[in-house]
Amino acid sequence: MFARILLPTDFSASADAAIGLAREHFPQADRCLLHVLDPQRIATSITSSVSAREDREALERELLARLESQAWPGEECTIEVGTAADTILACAQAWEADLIVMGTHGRTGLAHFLNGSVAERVVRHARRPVLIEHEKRA
Amino acid sequence: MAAATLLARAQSQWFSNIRGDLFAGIVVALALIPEAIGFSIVAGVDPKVGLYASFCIAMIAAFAGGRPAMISGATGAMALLMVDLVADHGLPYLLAATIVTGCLQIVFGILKLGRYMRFVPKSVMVGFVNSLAILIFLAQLEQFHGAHSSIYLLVLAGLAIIYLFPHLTKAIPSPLVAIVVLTLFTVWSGSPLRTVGDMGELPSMLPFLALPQVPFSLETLLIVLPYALPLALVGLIESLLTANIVDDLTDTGSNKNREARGQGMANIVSGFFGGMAGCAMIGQSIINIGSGGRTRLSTLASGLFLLLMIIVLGDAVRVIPMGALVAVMFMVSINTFDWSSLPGMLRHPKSETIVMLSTVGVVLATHNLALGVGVGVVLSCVLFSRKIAKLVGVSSHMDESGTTRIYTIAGQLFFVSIEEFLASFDTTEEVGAVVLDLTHAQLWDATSIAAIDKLVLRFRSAGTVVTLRGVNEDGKVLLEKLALYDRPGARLSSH
Repeated sequence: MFARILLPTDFSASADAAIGLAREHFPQADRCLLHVLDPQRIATSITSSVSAREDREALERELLARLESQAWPGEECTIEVGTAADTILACAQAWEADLIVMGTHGRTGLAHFLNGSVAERVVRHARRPVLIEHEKRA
Repeated sequence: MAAATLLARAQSQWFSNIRGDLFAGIVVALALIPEAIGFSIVAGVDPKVGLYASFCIAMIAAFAGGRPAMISGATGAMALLMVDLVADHGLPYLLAATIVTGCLQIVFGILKLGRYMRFVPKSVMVGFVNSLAILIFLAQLEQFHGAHSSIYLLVLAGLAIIYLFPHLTKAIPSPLVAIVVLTLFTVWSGSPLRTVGDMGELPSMLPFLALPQVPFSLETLLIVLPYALPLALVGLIESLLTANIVDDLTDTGSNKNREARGQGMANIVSGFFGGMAGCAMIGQSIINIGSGGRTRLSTLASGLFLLLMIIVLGDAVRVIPMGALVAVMFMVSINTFDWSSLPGMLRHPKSETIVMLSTVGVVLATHNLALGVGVGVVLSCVLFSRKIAKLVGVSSHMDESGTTRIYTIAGQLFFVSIEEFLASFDTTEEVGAVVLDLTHAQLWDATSIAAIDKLVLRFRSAGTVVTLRGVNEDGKVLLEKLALYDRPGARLSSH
């Protein structure tokens, strides 16, 4: 049975569905909600180049509050900065997750080429089981 | 170092994000073209000088820099410092100054001057970027002199494209779109406006190694040194500020002293290959991170793509109207300015606002960013020590016997705080004894010891017995070395 489940979320419908799936099927497991803040997003939203750190920390706090508002009691919440897939993998390693449950958007075409799929990269490189919830089903 | 570790490091610093880095490199290269040309014109040299500089600096910084994914090239801050040198002595002396700048920066890097960046407070940094923004803006106004009035329309159209196009798509940098659209328009309409080709020579081939055509004499060194020193300092300040910004954005660390040495090497190479001095670029580095760049590969790619495009597109670059470039420079200026510092002036302590405005004022008056930063740092230190000095408090009470007054002293005793400190004692009061309780005070320097001397001797001359209590270890050491009040013949001196 899975005991420690990492739940990466980008606050999308498919991520919500993946979290629901994990709660439903593994109610006993320790669950950790993870949101990865991409520096790309900070770079496009900063208001003052000199206070980049404050801007990032404010964004982190805002996202953590959002994450905590949707967490159930007993679920951990973490915000990490980095590239989505690599950070999810590093986090899974550090937190010693034995399962990752996440959603996918199923981007196609140019958007897929440029951004790939985070889930795709996680599945390919994770050294632990990964469960993917598809947006279409959600 | 083991080969495996080296390989792993190369993998993470170069090849962990290939697709994102190459894409960001292209975006940055496109955004660099107008800036490199624009800053060359600010400095008063041919566009090729800035373009060669941006290429060389990017190539070297990619390998030798201390902050992966930071973009370096020809910058406004540096261009503004070299205007007089170019005007008075010409390009060869600029190249020589660039090489000297690089040598100085390497020395600063070896001396590990990066750690002294801590002494540049945020308010001075805000003043730095704000005055830089204002100077870049002012430097553009020259383009309007004697130009056909349609240049105003061109600049407005350029700004409209730059700020509205991102609502359509962010995949292509909007300044580039503005340049392409306006160039096509002016070529098609046969506009009489000045173009980049009118401003000087563009590169038609790879830069080549050449010694600057200056006499290698002490005289030459004395001409370039007054320019190279501020160039070296401003280059490092902007580079380390930019490194901090990239650190903060990506939540990762960087090696500041390696960056200083890397900037130095980059400038030396730039000077030998016919480029002007440069440094890290705040705006471009943010564009790089925002476009997905993360490793050294993005920096390298920006330089390579820049040169490739310039050589392939040479003739097209020639017909870019100056008005379009002015619009891009206005955008650079607007992006550089720290707009949050304006409402911040109401919230922040008054002393920080004074420091920020003084930095801006000095830079605008002298056009020298290094001087502005120097004045800002000194002013911050003065205002800070004044603030600390105000925290000194002296209170007193009589003990139970009614014959001894106990003074409780708290705060930092040093040269700034002594005057007020001494004024809080009544040495003429007729009590048998006083105790100076220094448990919550710190004695910092010779001036504070001299003040204790003065105080003790004043009390004694009124016939009062004085005892010091609660002096900590550091204070005791200073007292033993410097205090005179228990030495034979100690008397109140006049000062």
